[in-house]
Amino acid sequence: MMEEKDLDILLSNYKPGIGNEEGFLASLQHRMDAVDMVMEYRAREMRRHRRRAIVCFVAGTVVGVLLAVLARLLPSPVELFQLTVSSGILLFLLNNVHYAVMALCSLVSVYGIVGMARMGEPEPFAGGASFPGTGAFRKG
Amino acid sequence: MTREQFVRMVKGEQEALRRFLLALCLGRQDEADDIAQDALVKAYVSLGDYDERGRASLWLRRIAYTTFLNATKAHGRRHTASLDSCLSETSDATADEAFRYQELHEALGALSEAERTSIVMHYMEGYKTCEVAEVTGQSEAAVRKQLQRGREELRRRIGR
Repeated sequence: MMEEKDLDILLSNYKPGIGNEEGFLASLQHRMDAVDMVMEYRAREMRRHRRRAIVCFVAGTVVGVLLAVLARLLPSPVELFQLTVSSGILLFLLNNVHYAVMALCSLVSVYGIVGMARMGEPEPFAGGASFPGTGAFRKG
Repeated sequence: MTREQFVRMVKGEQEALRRFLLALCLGRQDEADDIAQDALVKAYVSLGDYDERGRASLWLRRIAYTTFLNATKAHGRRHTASLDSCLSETSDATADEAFRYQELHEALGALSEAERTSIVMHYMEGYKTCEVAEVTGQSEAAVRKQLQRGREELRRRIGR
């Protein structure tokens, strides 16, 4: 069994060589550069998303108000045709023409707003491009 | 803390940190350096959490210890580095030194991760038991018990 004193000396003198310091620091700086790029990209994307969300909210509100007003002002064509139409389905459609028009307008508006939100959205790291040094994060 | 300040801090701490991880990894230098790099990147990402009133070395040790535990969990328990790899990796190591550390690493490998960390931090690096407890997230009493058990085990195994 080892003496207490010898063990203390062995443990306190533990100073193995640790290899190249410059290489270690250079590799670390490389990884830090990659982290900076990712964080910058995320911050930029968040700003862009916030802006898009505001634009969509405003556009949605405006379109919603316009549709509501339009629905009230739309002249009812029902009276014109009601007497000559005998089909039950056609009568049902004519009676609900306001809702049909509103649903169609809403659909078009949603497509418009989504299209606007996606406008100018870049493909992240398109063309197979990647951050330099991110390979170092990959674990086998 | 800015990036420049962080790099300055790392320059001052990296040697001790890598040696700490080298002991925890039982002499496997590549693995120790990988964990050190991962830990330092984690520290860089979470610079916002760093309390500048505290000691940077303890903060880094805590992150390094957690990273080491995660790596151990992910890869399972490994064996001590071979004597050949110790000799080839540590350029300035003499055969005698490599042999001595090989024996020490083998003995450290018989301890649990927590015992090993306590021994390395307290006896090799000179941290107080309360600081070891802070890094490993245990009570001081538990650390003292681990130190005692660890010492006994090392004495039994080294120089048989």
